[in-house]
Amino acid sequence: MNTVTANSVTTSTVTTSIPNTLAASSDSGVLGPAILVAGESSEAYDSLFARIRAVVEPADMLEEIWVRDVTDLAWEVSRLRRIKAHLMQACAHEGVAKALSHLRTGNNHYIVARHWFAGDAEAAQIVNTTFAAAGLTVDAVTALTMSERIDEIERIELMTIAAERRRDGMLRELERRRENIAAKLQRALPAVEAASDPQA
Amino acid sequence: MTSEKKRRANRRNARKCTGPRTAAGKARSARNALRHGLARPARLEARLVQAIGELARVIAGEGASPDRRAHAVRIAAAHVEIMRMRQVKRDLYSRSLNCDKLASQLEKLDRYERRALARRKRAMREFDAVPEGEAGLNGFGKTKPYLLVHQETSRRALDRSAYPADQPRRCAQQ
Repeated sequence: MNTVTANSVTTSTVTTSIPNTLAASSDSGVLGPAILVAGESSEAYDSLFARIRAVVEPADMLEEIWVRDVTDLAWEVSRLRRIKAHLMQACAHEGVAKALSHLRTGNNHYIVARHWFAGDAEAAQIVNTTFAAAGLTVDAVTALTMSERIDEIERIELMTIAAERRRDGMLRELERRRENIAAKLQRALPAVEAASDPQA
Repeated sequence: MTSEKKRRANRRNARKCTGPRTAAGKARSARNALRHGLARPARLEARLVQAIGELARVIAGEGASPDRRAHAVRIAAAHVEIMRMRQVKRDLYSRSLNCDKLASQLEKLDRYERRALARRKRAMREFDAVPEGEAGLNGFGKTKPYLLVHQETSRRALDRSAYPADQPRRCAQQ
C-alpha cells in the first residue's frame, strides 16, 4: 500500500553538506565576507569556494574576483533549489486537498489535508485509504501541489536560470581573458628570449 | 462647500505644520523617498570608500600607473556594489516574506546587480587593455606581484562592519 506522508513530498534532494576536503576561506579580506542566509553553513560555503578555487587556480586578483562570483552564484542556485523544495513541502497539504476534492464527497477536504499535514493519525488514515483506493502515490500530491503553486515555482525557476547563466558568463569571461593573456605572452616571448640570449 | 470659518482654521493649522524644523527632522525627511539606496554609487558612501580603496590597490598592484589605478578603482567600486546588492538580497531572504512578495522584490533588485556586473566586466576589459608597468608582463615589472600585495592586504583584512548590510537597515519613513 502506498503511504503518503507530509515529509515525503519534495521536488529534489538538495545537498547542503559538502565534505570539507580543502582548506580555504571565503572571508578573504578585500572581497568581503561570505553572504549567507541564517541557517546556511559557512563551512559548506568555504568548502565550495575552496573546490572552485582549486579547479580555476586564479592567477591574479581579477580571477580571484571571478572565483568568488562563481562560488556566490553556485551557492545562489543551490539556495533557490532548496527554496523550491521547501515550498513544495510546505504546500503539500494544498495538493492533498485538491486530490481529496476529486476523490471524496463532502466539503472538509482542506481541513483533512491540514490535519494530515500536521501529522494527525486519523487524517493520515483517510488520505492513505483514499489514495490507495484510487491507485495514487506521493507523485500525485507533488504534481497537484505544483499545479497549485506553479506561478511561484516558475519565478524561482527563472531566477535559478538567471543565476546559472550569470555563473556560466563569468567562466566564459575568465576563459576569454586567459586566451588573451596567452596570446600576449606568445607575442612577447620571442623578444624576451632574444634579449636574454647573449649569443643571439 | 467649505465655510469661511473652516478655511481660516485650516490655514491656521497648516501654518503650524510646515515640515520638519530641527536638523534631525530635516535629515530624516530627506530620506523619505529613499527605497533601498542601491542606485547610489558605492563610491559616494563614506563607509564603502575604504573597502573600494583597499580592493583597488590589490587589483592594480603597487607602483601601477595612474591610468591602471583609475581602472582598478572602477572595478573595485562595481564589485563593492555587487556585494552590497547581494547583502540586500540576503536580508530579503531573512525577512521571511511570502514567496510571491519575495520573488517580486528579488526580480526588482536583479537589474541593479545586472548593471553593476556589466560595469565591472567593462572595467575589467579596459583594465586589461592598459599597458602594465614598464616590463609589460604581470608580476615581472616595477608593479609589485599580485600575491605579495594580496598577502599584505589580507593581514589588514577588512572588518565585516565595512559592509553596510551587516547592520540592520531602517525603514526610511520612520
